Amino acid sequence: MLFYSYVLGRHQLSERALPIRPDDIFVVSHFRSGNTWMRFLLGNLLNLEGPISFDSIERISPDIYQFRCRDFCKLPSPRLIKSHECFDPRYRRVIYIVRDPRDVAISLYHFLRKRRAIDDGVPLATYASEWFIRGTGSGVTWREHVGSWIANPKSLPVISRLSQNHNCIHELGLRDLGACGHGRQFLLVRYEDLLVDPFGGLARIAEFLKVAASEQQIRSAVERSSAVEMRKLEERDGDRWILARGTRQDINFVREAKSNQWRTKLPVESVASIELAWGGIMELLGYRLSTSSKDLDLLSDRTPEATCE
Amino acid sequence: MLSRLGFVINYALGQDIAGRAVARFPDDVFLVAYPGSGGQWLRRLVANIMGPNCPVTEANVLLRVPSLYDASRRALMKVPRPRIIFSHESFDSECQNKLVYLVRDPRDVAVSIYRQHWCRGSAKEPMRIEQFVSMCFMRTDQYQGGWAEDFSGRVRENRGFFYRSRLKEEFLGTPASWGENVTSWLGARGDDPKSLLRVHYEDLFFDAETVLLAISEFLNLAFSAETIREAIRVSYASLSEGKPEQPGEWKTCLPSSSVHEIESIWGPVMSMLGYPVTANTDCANQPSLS
Repeated sequence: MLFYSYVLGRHQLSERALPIRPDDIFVVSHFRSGNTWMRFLLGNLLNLEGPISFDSIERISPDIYQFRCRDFCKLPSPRLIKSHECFDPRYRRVIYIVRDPRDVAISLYHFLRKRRAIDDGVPLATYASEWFIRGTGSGVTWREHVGSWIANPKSLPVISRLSQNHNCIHELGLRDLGACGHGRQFLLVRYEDLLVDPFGGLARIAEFLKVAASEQQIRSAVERSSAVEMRKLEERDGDRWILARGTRQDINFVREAKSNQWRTKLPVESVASIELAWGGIMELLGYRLSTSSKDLDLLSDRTPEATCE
Repeated sequence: MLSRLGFVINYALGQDIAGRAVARFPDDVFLVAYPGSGGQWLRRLVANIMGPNCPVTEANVLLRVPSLYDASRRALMKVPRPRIIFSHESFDSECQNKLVYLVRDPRDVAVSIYRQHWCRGSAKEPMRIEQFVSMCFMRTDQYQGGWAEDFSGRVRENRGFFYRSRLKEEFLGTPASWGENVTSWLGARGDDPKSLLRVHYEDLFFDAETVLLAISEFLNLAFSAETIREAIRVSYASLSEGKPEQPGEWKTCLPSSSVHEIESIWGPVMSMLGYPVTANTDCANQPSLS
């Protein structure tokens, strides 16, 4: 039966075999970093049919892990595609969303519980300090995902040294990050910046995509994609959404949609573990560490190192 | 639909080639090298260390250090674990165990790939080396167009239906460009010496023993220095064609415009890896390959 489906093109594509068009727009992120919110924002901005719902989102902005080959190839250009893949050179237009890993840990913990991938008995502290840092459950670590996408010839010399050094001095800004070589259009968006100013953020994205959107259109897309609206939509038709099928209905997909949750919800030891593992790259992305570099050096059981050039 | 049907038959027989999508074991170790970086030489050396009394040939190197692009799914499953697998891929999160990453001066990589594929009389459209650098080596921006994408495109063109029907959706892998391959791996893993060992082709050429000892130690293979020396001797003795390429050939083979083109894009990565960029591009001589 499976073979029959494959011959007729009704199979699901493997992520890398996906036939890509040069004008495809990819919304890429690590898990739980605001990818669905971005799809709603863009869907509501680009779609003239009406407000996006969890029923229509997969048609408007397909998820590469859910779509059938034949249907995927039939979609009109430019396709707005969701992906959680690490660096793929075939993606030519990329909106990459990055989120503070300390918040990602909390959100991913609840999502994996929703998917029944982890038991309620596993405390958040254990998940964040051990599983999350090893990439257990998600298959890839936050560090690898982000590192594979933000590295370019200019930023690599700094990024590659970060794992060894918490006090790296450099002159890189957010604009210098991103796999933008060979004419790839790349936009790095911080989830936290989008939360603070969704209107400005979406306007910047529209400009990046060369979409002529009026102030009113952007404002309406932001309103239709607010956490409150999305929560209402999830309550209404979330159970029909392909991503939520078979998952626990007592845990919501749309959660708090806030930044800095880790300050109150993540145990100090877990925060220190994450900062010890990825502190350098977090600072590069503008996420200030709460553990002092002296404590991080004590935790890593080594003497403070000289700063890199 | 015909190639899909062919794939179904190959899959049922275990003859399909999964390429990058191959099923991994958690203890798989990968040898990753961008095409033209001397990966085949490293692969041969490692294969000979694993069995110095029985030197590998072109055919049975596949059994000891299988490549993602040649071994069938069934053959890969038969390789004893822990498997050491050879790959050209850009960053691959499925490689969760240790990884040896071989790098080479991109100016030499360009010369090497050009020699292998583009200056032979058999190439469909022979092109000059500066054309190759501009139009293929430095590009991945065209859909399925640049040389790295053409890596699978080339397979499609040259290998015929029976080979193609062994590939799911005719997909083999995405090595990307030299710069993207390096930045994606080193960007993702950082310079973490516990998960990624970076080795240089130039060191392998001039002092293979030290490099192989480092690899052996990194992979906890516990091979003795004698085994390694014997493997190096056997590898040189069993070479059927051409010795490993001398590092620095770009100085005489690559036109200054191509050197400049490579350095202007990947200069910072090259400097970081210890391949100094030329202060001025006058030192490159006239091209001898064209």
